[in-house]
Amino acid sequence: MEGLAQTLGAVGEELAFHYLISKGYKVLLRNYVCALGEVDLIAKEGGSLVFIEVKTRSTVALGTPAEAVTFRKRHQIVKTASYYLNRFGIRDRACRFDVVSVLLPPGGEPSIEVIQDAFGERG
Amino acid sequence: MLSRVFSSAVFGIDAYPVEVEVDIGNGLPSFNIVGLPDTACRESADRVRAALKNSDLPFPSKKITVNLAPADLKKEGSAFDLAIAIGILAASETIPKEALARRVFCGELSLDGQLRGVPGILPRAAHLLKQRGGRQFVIPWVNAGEALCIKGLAVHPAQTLGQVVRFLRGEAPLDPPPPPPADKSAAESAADSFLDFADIKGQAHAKRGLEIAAAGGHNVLMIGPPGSGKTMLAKRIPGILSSITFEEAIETTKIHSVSGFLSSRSALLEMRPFRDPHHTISDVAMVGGGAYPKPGEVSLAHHGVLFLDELAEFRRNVLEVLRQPLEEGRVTISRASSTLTLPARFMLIAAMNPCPCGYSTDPKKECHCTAVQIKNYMSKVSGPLLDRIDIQLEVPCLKVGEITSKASGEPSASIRERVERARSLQRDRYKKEKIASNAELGPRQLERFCRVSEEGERLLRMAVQELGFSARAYHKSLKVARTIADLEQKAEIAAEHVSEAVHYRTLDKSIWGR
Repeated sequence: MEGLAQTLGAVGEELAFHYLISKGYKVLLRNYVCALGEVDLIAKEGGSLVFIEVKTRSTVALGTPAEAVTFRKRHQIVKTASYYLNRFGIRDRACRFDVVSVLLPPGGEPSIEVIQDAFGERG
Repeated sequence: MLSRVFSSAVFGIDAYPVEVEVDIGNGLPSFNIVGLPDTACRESADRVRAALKNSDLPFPSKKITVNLAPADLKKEGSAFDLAIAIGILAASETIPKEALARRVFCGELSLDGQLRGVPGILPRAAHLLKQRGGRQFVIPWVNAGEALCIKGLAVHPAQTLGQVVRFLRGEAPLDPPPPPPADKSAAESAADSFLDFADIKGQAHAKRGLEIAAAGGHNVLMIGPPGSGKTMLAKRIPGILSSITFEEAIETTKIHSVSGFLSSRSALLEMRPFRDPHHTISDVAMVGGGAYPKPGEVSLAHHGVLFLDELAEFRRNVLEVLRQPLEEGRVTISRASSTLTLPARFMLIAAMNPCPCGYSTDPKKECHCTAVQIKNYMSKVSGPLLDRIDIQLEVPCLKVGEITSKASGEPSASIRERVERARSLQRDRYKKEKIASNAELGPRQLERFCRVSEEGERLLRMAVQELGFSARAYHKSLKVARTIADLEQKAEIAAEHVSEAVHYRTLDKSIWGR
């Protein structure tokens, strides 16, 4: 059963997916899940492998979507990413982490912002 | 992509070279600093990242590893910021690697790319000069004066990271600021700006004692009731000290540089240091120490004066740690991880009351202390410490006539003239001995340089017998007698010099009963 938040998240991820494609990202995987966690999107852009976290909010009353990517979440994405790299034996690929912040105000235009290279291995 | 940048670090007051290796590779973006950095050093990663970004320089989103070699020595502080930033730029080929050869970088970065000053530039510069092949030293602008004290070293001070990058690309020079106009009288006028001995009425005996102490570098203990002028006297000592020589200034400035006490304007110390720590000081603050050993008050007072007001209020262990530096002019700090020897040749000036209430030697006021209280109070100053003090002075309460008299005493300037003459006499005499003053004479040198007249000899022998002088006390009195003779420009020590010197050691008999 999906709650309101999950629906919002799914809509946001869909929007982000199309937005990134329009920006020239080559999306390889959506919702990559392993035992260590999940990554919303894995794409190629500008010669780097990009691990992308999408955050969606309907209002900024509790902070912007990008702010919701906490240290714990970043740490989990990093661990998942390093599992992915090991899994395919490509540890020496150039990588980076992007965050896509999607704001979906009820009844308004959605606004999407991509923060490239948002964080590194140590947050 | 690897780059190698040279920097340097300070241990104690000596510098050693540090190689900053930067590797930029693929993989998860990260910025790691290895080579035993402390917190300030590890946080350098965040400063460098922001400084590069705000200087419009590229920061690669890659796996960056920085190694501070030798990797087994602990690194502290923020002085590696500049070298790390330059290393990253060289590894990412923003600046040519050839530009890094023979250049040494030190400095802290602020987030906007400005270079901040760091402590310990002078010892680093002195160390670089000794390296073969001529090194160029790239440092923050505010430290320029300090580095320029070392003649013959190529110094390139910069205000921002951007300036350093342009310099390394060969686009703009980094020239040191013009030396400040040589002002010979600067030191003298600084001495004149001190409090003057002319302000002190009476106390001729104490003034004479301090003059002898300044002339020979002897330790002094002043004992007297509250308000008699002990502190006033001590605060005026800097005004009668002989001027500091260049070599001495370099040595002392090194210590102050490491401790971060130098302002950007006055690079080299022009005056002998005068340190007056509060009596709540800890033993580590007094002799130095800490996880990264730092000089203590005894080293900061090197070639100058350490003034301990209210001597009996100091913690006992703080006073006892003074023994080695007083005797040897250096202090050795031993810890599990390392041993460090710092210079600490200072003149000890101490002041105290004769009892807890302060009035036991006062002829007019009554003392309220019990015998036990006085005994406990005086026993704070141990025999071994007392033995190391050459001149004991009683500073009595002033008489009515002295307090209200309008006549002023002898000004500091004329006392200083006599002190300078006596000091230059000593400097010439000890040229080959590697010492500068009578107080530093060793037992063998005593025999050679302190020739006493027959009558003086007889007097000394009597003092040893009657007053129970220790061997050290005998030597110390001889040195004081030497200084008194020097003040009168006499080559041989006469009986009157000996008798005055012995007289300065009789207070412990009357007060301590030792």
